[in-house]
Amino acid sequence: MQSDNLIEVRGLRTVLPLKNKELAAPVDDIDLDIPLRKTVGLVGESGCGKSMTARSIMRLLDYPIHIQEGTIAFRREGGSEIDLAAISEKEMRGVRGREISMIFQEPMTALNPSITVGKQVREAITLHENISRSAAKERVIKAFYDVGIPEPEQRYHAYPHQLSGGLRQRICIAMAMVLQPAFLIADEPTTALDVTVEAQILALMKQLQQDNDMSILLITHNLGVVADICDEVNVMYAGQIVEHAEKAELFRRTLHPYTRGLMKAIPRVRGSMEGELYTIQGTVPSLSQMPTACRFCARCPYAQEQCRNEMPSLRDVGNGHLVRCFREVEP
Amino acid sequence: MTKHRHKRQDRLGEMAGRTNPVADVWRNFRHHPVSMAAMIVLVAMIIMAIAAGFIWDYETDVVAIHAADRLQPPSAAHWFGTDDFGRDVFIRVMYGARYSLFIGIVTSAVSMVFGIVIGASCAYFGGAYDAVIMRIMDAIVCIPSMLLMLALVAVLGKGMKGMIIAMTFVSVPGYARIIRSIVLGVVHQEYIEAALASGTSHVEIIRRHILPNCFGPILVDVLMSVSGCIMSASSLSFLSMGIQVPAPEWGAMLSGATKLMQLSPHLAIFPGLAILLTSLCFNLIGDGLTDALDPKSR
Repeated sequence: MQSDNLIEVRGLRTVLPLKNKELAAPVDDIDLDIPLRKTVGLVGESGCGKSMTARSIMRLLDYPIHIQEGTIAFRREGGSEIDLAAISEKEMRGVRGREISMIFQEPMTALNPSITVGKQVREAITLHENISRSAAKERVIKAFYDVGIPEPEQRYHAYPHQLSGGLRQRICIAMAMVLQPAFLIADEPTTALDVTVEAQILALMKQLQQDNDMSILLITHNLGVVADICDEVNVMYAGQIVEHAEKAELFRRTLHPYTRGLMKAIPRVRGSMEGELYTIQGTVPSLSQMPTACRFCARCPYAQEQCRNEMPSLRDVGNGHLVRCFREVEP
Repeated sequence: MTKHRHKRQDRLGEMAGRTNPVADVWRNFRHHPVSMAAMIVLVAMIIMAIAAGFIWDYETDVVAIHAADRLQPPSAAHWFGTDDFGRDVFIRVMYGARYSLFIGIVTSAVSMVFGIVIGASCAYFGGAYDAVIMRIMDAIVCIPSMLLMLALVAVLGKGMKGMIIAMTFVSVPGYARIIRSIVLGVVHQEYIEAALASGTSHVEIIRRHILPNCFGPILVDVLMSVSGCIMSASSLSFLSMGIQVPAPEWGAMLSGATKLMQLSPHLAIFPGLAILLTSLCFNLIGDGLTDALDPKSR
C-alpha cells in the first residue's frame, strides 16, 4: 500500500446472483485509490455501479449481493492496515461510523422519523464510545454548531420532519462527522437539494475536510460538483472505471468517448441556444447481457472493429491519466 | 370553520415547538368521537372487571345456587334476570368480563411478541431463513383455526392455560405475516442504511429503528385481533373446551342458555351483548387509531 493512500481498492468485483444461477457483476474489477486528505469523485450515470462500489467498501450490500473477489486495503488510525473485504462483520461494525462514515442522497429519508435528531446523532457516538449522556449531548451540540446549524440546543430536540432539507442534510453530515472519521463516503449528497443549498453543503464539506484531515469519496453524476470540490476523478461506466485523472487534467484532456459525452451533455449558460442538448444515444447494457468487448462500443460514435471484439484495458496515457479505450489519439 | 382553525393552530404549534409522535397521534385520536366513546366504554369495562372481584364474592354471589330464584326475568332486584340455578346474570356478566378481557389481551399480547420476533426477523434478514419460516407459518394457517385449537386444547387439557396456548399458537402465523409486511415497508428506508453505516448492530436496528416506526400499524392490528381472540375464547368455552362451568365466562354462559333460549331469552341476550360490545370496542378503537396514525387517509 502506498504511503500517501488511505484506501486502496484492488480488483474489486461485487456480484449479484441472477435467476438463472449466473452471476452479474454490477462492480467489475475496480481499482480505486483514495489519497489522504483528498476528495475523489466517482462519476457515472444511474446504474453504472458507483453506489454499489461505495456500498462494497462499507460492506453494506443487501443479501444476496456480495463481494466475490478483490481487496480493500484501509489504513487505520495508528497506521495498521486492514482488508475491509476480509474482516468479520463484527470488526466491520467497529469501523463503520467511527473510521469510515457515509452520507446519503435523500436527507428526507436518511433520518429516523420517530427519534429526535439530537438523540440520533448521540446514539452514533454512544455506539462506539463509552461516555455519559450529557457528555455525548455536548459533543452533539458542538457537531451541530460545526456544521452550521443555527440554535443547536433547540434543534437537538427537533424531529426530522420539523427541519428543512438543507438542515437535515447538515444533521446527516454532523452524524457522519461527529466521531471524526478518516474517510467519508458521500453518495450524491446534494442531488436532492436545490442549487443554493447545494453550494452551501459543498462548501461545508470542503471546510470539514480541511478541519479534520479527512478523505472523501464523492459519488455524483454532476460534473459541476466534481469541478467544484474534487481533486481526482474516476468515471465509471457499466461497472468499470473507464477514465481516471486529476481534475484539471480530466477537464483539459478528456479522452474517453463516454466522458466526452457526459461533458457535452451539460447545458451551457452561454453560447448558442439553437439545436438540442447533446445526449448519449442508447442505454447502459443490462447486467445479464454484458458484452465481452468494450462495454461502451454500442453507444460510441468512434467504435471500430477492434472495439466490438476485445475488451480494452485501463492504460496509462501519461500524467497519471488512465483510460479504457483503444483509440491512441484524441479525435 | 372552528375545526379548521383548530387544525391550523395545531400545525403552527407543531412548527414552533417540540412535538412527539405519541402526542400527535393522541391529538388526532381525540377528534374521533366514535373511537373515543369506544375507548371510554372499554375503560369502564376494565374498571368494572377489576372492581367486580372486590364487590362480589365468587363463591356466594357468582356461583352459589339459589333454587328459589330460578329463571327470573330482568327486574329491579336482578337487572339481567337470573339463570336456571338462580344466579344473578348481571353479576355473572360483569364478573365474566375478567375472563374475556384477560384472555383477549393476554393472548393478543403474547401472540404479538412472537409475531414481532418472527415477522421482523424474516423481513429483515430475508433469504432462505425468511422462506422457510414463512412456509411453516403458511402451513399452520392452512389448517382451519377452530379445528386446530380444539385439537390443541384436547392435547393440552381444558381450561384457561390450554386455551391461551392454543389460541396463541393459532394466531401467531397471522401476526407474523402482517408484521413481516409492515416491516418490509420500513426495512429499505435510507435511515436503516444510515444507521448501519454508523455501525449499529442488526438487533439494535430492529429494536431502535424498525419497530418504533412500525409500532402504529402493529398496535392497530393487535387491537383488531383482541376482538377475534375474545370471540375465539367464547367459542371454545361455548363448546365446553375452554373455561369450565360454573365459571361465568360469556361463551360458557351462552352455551348454558341454548336449551332455555325460548323460555328465558335474557340468558342468551346479555352475555351475547357483552361479547358484541367488547369486540366492537376494540375494533372501533383500532379504526380510530388507524386514522389517527395517518390523518390523510380519512
